[in-house]
Amino acid sequence: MSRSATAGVAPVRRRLGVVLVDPLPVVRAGLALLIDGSDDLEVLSEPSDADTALASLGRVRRTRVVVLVGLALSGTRDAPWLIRTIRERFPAHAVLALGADADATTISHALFVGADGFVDKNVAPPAFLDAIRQAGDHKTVLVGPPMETVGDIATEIERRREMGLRLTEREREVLTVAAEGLTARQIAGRLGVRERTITTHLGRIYGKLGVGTRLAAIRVAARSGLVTVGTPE
Amino acid sequence: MASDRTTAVVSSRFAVIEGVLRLTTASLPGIEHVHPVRDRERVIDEVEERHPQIAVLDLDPSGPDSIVLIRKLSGLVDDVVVVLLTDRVDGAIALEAMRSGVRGLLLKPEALRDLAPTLRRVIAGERVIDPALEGSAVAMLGRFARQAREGSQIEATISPREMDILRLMGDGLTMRQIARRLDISARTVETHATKLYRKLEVRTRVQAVAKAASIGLIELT
Repeated sequence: MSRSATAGVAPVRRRLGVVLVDPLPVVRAGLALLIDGSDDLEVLSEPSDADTALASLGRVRRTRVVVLVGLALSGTRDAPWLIRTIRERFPAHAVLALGADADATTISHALFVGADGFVDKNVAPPAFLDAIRQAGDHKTVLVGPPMETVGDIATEIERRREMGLRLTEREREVLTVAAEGLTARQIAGRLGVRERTITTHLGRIYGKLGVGTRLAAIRVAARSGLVTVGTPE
Repeated sequence: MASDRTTAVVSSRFAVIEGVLRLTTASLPGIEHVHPVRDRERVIDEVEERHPQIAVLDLDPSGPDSIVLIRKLSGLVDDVVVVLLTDRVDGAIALEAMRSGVRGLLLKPEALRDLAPTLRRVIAGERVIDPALEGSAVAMLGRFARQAREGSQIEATISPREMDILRLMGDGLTMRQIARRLDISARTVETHATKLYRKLEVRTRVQAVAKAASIGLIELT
């Protein structure tokens, strides 16, 4: 019996590729099993840190994949850093932040730096997989947090934005360097200006953020995502 | 001031819907007086004066003034149970409603069919949001986050002087008026404007104002 090439055979749709970034091996293994178990998704790689993730994405030959970024990723190149970098270097991919009982502040931070959505590890597997599919469909995804959170997230995003509007680019630069723990003199050396200039900037920064000490300024700015605070390698 | 548990306020611009809202709220346990408010402008005042237990408000025909109304309502939600109805799945309105703390956000016409049990659930303390409206709010949240990000990134590159000029453009001043207001030459204004357009990735003044407004850099009154 002859079969015409176009008779009744549905075209095979390529599985949606997923890159799974999380520092914990058990989490990666568990999620990979779950994702590979569905017939429309497949895990392309399982990096454990930001640099490996970016290298992996550089090798991906597909137009669009979903990158799951575990918010537990910490250090100098933490989750927000990775999300921001993926958005800049690989704008076609969808980034889905992955958290555990994350609150509105954490979720708003992820969305603000460029995640297309958030999914909580505490949701049922089918909902988890659907979240990945929706992200692959260019939709904003929020799966896991109760609906009340939506309003809080919007408020937090606005607050984050307003904080950003208040500091100048130079002030943000000074604060980012200050967050590494350098003295005013060292900051001045790093930025190529006089120490007096730095102390003036810091004074203005404290005033704008409504704080009195450098530690408080760094804490406030880090909480709002204005600066990324990480321990230098 | 404690709310009057026997009073309800309802509002719709459509007589038929107002009728449905009146009948339904009148059937709620404890409600003895239902005050209809036909004029949208009077809604906030009426709710503040009467301190009802519940206010059921039809937003339609919904528009930008709906957002203003919802923001004003957010100041009352601690004392009054507020339920909103609309027939438009509008992400901006839905997100604003969810931020405001209203207890119910319902989609017409389906919501009108079993409005009584829904209102009873709401009075019992449950928050009832139509899934389609919640979905549109989440979609809006994504756009909101992107606008906030782009706005703050662009804002970081704009100097205070350029910001002044942008604001005055948004107020509708001509280049010459801007020059006079800022006490600088028209040539200087043009130079700043050119740099501004490049930073905003636009070509004209109208586009600059529109782009700046859309990312929240300036507000258009």
